[in-house]
Order: sequence, then C-alpha cells, then structure tokens
Amino acid sequence: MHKFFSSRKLVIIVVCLIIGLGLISGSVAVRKNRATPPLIQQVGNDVVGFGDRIVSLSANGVGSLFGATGNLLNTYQENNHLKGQVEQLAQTQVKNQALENENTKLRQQLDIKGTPTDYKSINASVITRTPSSWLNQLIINKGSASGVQKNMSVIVNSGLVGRVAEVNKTNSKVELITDKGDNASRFSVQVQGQKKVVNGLIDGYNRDTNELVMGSVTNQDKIKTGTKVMTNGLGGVTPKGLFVGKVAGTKQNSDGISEKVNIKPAANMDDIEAVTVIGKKD
Amino acid sequence: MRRPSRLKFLFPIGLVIAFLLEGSISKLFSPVLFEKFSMVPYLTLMWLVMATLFARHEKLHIGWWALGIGIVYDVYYVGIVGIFMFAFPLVVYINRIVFKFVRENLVTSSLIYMGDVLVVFVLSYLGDRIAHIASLSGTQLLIYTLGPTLVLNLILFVILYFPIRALFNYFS
Repeated sequence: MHKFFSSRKLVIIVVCLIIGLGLISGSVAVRKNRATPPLIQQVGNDVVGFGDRIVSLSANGVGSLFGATGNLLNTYQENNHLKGQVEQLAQTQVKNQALENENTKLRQQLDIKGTPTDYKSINASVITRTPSSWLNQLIINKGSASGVQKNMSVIVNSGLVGRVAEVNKTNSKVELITDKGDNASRFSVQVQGQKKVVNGLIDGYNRDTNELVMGSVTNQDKIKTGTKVMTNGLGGVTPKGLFVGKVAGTKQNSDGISEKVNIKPAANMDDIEAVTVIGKKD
Repeated sequence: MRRPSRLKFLFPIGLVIAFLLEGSISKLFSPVLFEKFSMVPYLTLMWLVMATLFARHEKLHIGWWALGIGIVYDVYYVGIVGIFMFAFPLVVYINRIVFKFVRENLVTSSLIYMGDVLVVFVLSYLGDRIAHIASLSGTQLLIYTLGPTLVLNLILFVILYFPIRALFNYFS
C-alpha cells in the first residue's frame, strides 16, 4: 500500500485529470455552440441507439403490461369523465375551425406569413432516460434525418416538457424543463394578468412543490391563481402558444421590486412515453 | 495455459445488456426512481464490480472494457465526454487493489461496492457540476439523492450477488 502514490501513478492521475477536464470542457463547448455533435460521437450515438431500441422495446412491453392492467381498473370512471369532455370538445373543435378559417382569410388579406403561432411538429417516442438524478434527460427516436433541430421545443399532449439539447442522425437528447442547468429551461413565457399580458422567463424548478418558477417578469400586474401560462414565441425557435401550466401563486422577491410566479406544469415529467418535437415554421 | 473460458463472451454481452437496461429501467420506473427521493440504479457499475470479484483470475481486460463502456456511457446517456470514462476504470482499479488485502465475501463486497458507488456518484456529480448541467445541490443532493441511491444499490447488489456469482461460476 505504501507504493500507492508512487511518482509514476501520480503522473498518470494528473494526466487523466487534465484529459478529463479537457474533454468535459470540449464537449460542453460543442453542446452549447454547435448544432450537432462531432461526427464520431453522432455515429456512436446512432449505433448504441439502434441497439437500445431492442432492449427498450421489450422493457417497455413489460412496463405497458402493468400499465394496461392499471388502466383497465379505472376505465369506467375515466369513461364517464371523458364522455362529458367529448361533448364540449366537439363544440370547441367546430369553433376552432371557424376561427382558423377566418384567421387564414384575414392573414391572406393582410399578406402576413409565418406568425409565431405557426409551427411544424415531429412525433417521436422515448427510447430511454439518462440514469442520473441531477440531469433529467430523455433520448428520443427521431433525429436530424426526421428534421429535428437543436433547441426545438418538446411537448407531450398535456404541455411543454423540454427542449432538444443534442441532435444525432436517428436520435436526439431532450433536456426537461425541470432541470436547472444553464441552458435547460429558460423558456420565454407569458401569462394574462388582470389588465395586461405579463411576459417572463422560466428560470427554475422547485422540486419540493413540483413547481416551475417564472422570473424576469416584465410588468407588474395581479395574476390570478389558475391562469394558464404559455410560451410567447419571443426569440429562439419556440413558437407561440405552447401550454406550460397553470399559475400556482406569486411571490414577491426579497428585493421588493421583482416578482416570481410559481407555475404548476401541465405535463407529468416523470412518465413520458411519446413526445412531439415542435419548431417554428420557416 | 488454460483454455480461454466462455466468460470472454459472457462478460461483454452482460456489460452491454446492463448498460442498456440501466437507461430503460430509469425510464420505466422514473415515477418511482426520480420522485422526491431520487435514486439511480448503477447497473453497469455493478456488472463491472461483479466481474472484478468473480472473474479475478481470468484475463478479461476488465479495465479496458470499463474505459470503453465509460466512453459510450458519456456519449450516449450524458452527452458530456470525460466523466464515466475515468470513473469506471478507476473503480475497477481500486477494487483490484483492495481485494489483494481483503477476503472476498458478501459483506466485504457489498461494503466495497458502496464505496465504488460513492466514488462514481461523487465523480459524476463533480463532472456535471463543472459542465454546468447538474441541477441539484446541498441537502437535496445529500439527503434526497445520495442516501437513497446508496440504499437502492446496496439492495440490488445483495439481491443479485448470488445469482451473478452462480452465472460466472457456470460460465468459467
């Protein structure tokens, strides 16, 4: 044991540390600045992703078997509940269509193209999840071959869940908004106040209460609990009108000037099977 | 010279399966694993450690395999290269040294495995912290993450110890 820190080993340790730090900072730079990782990394990801599909398919099969049994048990209640909703939905749908038609006509008249609410969508299913406590990252089965681009928004049917962090040919990594990493959340969102629209940035997540925190609020206004929060399409490739969640409460910051808005996310971040990747139409 | 055992095939195949299962299980059980108490099943690490325990006298190049799977782990799961590619070989190396001095049985192995998990946990956290992708800190990290992770991995290790030993013995 006395030879454990011999000079040769010390040199090896130091060299490993330097290489490690170099690789980490290199890949961070790539992740931040480039649209896709280096080719060799992409190929590796695609190969592993292909193998992973076989494993995850069987694993998910077993999982959905349990899920199906659970679903069967509360089908009756769900059915009753849904029946009520469907009737409303038909009405909304008709109205929606009428409005959409009207909207297109008006736009044609005004000659407006590509408003922030226009978007294209790509459906994908989740292959696997990063086994980590502090990095909430999913790997989905669509990549640049299907038109996925870096920084596109990712939603499930109930709401916004995250953003594409890395794109390979046939799979991509999605960072969830529940991450507090530097470039993870930071979605530009808006909420209707009592008088005017309040814009802000999502800049945090409270794990204890499962609530997102919206900061950098642009103007002061009374915001009711339960108001719907959506993206505002300002900047980046996030289109306008993606549902984020509902306001759970507001809190005055300690400086007494700015305000923080707590948002209960609409999507359940812990149970994501399939997602839709959303990008602005160009 | 002994005839090369079938472990030459069992070990890499098991390694790949453990690696892929780690992600799939994390995804499948994410409502349980990553709720208030957040725990990570380090299956790849467990397979590597089991191999250092049960195939000590075989030439399997576990260190190199650890390096390889570490790189793949970094690239595929994390997206930041340079964390697990050092953590995994380090653990293999530590285990080799420790088991020169310690008799191997369930108790010592699980204690040392705890140490291994701790090493990987700390290294990966530091790496992610440097890369600015770690979103936890303080009590959240120590009480709600490190504790449960150690407990979960200890339980998994104890449950899988005898089956995997039998597997290695059968194939060697």
